[in-house]
Amino acid sequence: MRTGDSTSFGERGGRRRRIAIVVTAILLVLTAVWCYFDRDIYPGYPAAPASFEAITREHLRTESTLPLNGRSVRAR
Amino acid sequence: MKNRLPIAFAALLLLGALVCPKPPGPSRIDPHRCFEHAFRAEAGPDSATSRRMRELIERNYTFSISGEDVVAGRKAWVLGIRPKIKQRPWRQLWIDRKTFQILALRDWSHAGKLKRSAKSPAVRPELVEGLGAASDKQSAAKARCGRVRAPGYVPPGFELAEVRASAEHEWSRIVYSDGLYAISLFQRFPDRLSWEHKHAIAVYDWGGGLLLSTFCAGRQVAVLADLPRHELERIAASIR
Repeated sequence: MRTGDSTSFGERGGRRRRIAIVVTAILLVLTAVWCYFDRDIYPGYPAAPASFEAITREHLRTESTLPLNGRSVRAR
Repeated sequence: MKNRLPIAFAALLLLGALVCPKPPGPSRIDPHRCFEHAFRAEAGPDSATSRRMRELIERNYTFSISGEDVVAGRKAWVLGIRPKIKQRPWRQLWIDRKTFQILALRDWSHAGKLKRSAKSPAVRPELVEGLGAASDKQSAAKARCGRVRAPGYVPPGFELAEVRASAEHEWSRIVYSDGLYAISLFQRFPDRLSWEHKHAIAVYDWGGGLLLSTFCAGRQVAVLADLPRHELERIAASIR
């Protein structure tokens, strides 16, 4: 390649830009997929059946009486 | 002239360090002091139970001030209460800088995901009765439900907080606490109103943690806590 051959440099730069755009797009898609499947706090476990409602309520009631549980704050 | 330039530069730096005010960093309050004040503001008058809970929290958690914030128009410290043992839930508290009341909180699960966010709409002092005198309640409850069996294994840091029997729901219950969170162990003898999965182990997500349901030592057992599955299994398996 000759010194100062601007066309060659331009082609190489364009290719790099395209690669950068494609890589960025792939990363964005992967991030979106990750965020979609990562929403669950306890992934892989089904929701507790209604028959457990009474005991989960009882457990929550106890935890709410423990200190530093923010009794004066309201859940959002 | 050339020799004086570095000296002048050094003098300027020194002057700047002396004159410039310190940035309002979060390191101005000791995290442990912040916790103590917040605990007192929340737990109310000093009692045997509150002292025990405070000791449990201090034993199981470390405190750090991660910054400052404004909640409900009030300046607040952001206090992080992190467990000393890995894979445990932890809490962030927004503490009022003047009254040390809790203005907001965030609960993070044992896997490090946000599970609860709460914020005070306004500052209002409110005290609710806590677990109470656990030892008195325990002895009375034990007398009512002699068939309760304690597990041989409880995760480190957790201590017995309450034993209770419910005639209405026909179960007995043991509660362990590490000061901030609880493990509930429900036991019931098989009857018509059986829970799910009589003989197999089933693990569910109940919103605030995991629920393990199984059948062992001739009784139905349900363990609730925000702990990894293997910890719940170990607790249930240790009931003899």
